[in-house]
Amino acid sequence: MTFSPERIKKPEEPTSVRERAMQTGRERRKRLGEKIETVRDSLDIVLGSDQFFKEGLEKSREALKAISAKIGRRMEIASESLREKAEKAKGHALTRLAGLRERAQSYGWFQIEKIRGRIDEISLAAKGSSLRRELRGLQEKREGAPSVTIVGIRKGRPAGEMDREYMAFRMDEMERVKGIADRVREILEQLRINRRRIKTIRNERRRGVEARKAVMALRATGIDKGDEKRV
Amino acid sequence: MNELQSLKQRIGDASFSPEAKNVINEILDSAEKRGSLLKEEKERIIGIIDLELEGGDIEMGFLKEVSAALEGFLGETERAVREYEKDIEDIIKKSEV
Repeated sequence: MTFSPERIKKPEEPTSVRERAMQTGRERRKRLGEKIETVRDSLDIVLGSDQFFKEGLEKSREALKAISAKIGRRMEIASESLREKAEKAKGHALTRLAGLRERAQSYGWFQIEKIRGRIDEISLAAKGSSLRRELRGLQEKREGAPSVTIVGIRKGRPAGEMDREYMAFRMDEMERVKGIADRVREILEQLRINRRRIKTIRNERRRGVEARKAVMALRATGIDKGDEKRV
Repeated sequence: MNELQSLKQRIGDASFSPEAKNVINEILDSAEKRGSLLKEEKERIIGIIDLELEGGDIEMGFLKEVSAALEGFLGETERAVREYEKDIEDIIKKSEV
């Protein structure tokens, strides 16, 4: 679906709080018929509406930040959780690899470094600095949230204009989140290659286990049973 | 084909790392010349195979954990995009009434 700020219809006769207040004032003036009282009343109403207008905008600004922050915070938590999980997985894998290192050296086995290289590469992609950069962008965007929400819009400015401003802001935020999702898909695509690698490793393992059994069977059978050192 | 030759073939089919295959083949070649396989040589072969298997297990476990974490994060971003879309649709609907 394509959204366009232009799709929002401009109200033909925008009514501000001030205008409505003035109208109320006029009605009162007419009703009371006393000039001094009318002026005082009008002044009170105008001052009151100004205050109300300011408060309305301030509240609306906070409301918008809260709406944006709700999603943003959730994503930050999810991103932090992803980073922690990637770190944990890497730490776990490296600890296990370290356990193999000594044995590997005694056999002149170099595969350990290759596995470590792949682990580093993937965990770096998963913790992705680009993801974190995008999230930082979202946070900065929230800090500069425009002073608009439906509440403020209705009270102070023409609804169409404010709605468009608000919607443009929301769309910009959405595009940023879409950018993050695309980046994650890219990494997952990278991992799909590694899923094939998982399948390969699994097959290799099966064949490896069969080869091991064959070696074990040799030991059980023995080749030169006459020599105790030979089995 | 004797048992050592048969074993060499199995090792070749097992897709171990080139380094592991080289070491195992060297051991099997010398055993073949000798006409027997020493106990130490067999233990060495088993040790190398176990390392290959364990290394594969470590890599596989790591990939699975990271895949699951990334998929979870992707789910969160997709949910956020849906919320944004709904929010924008709501604004349009309100404005067009």
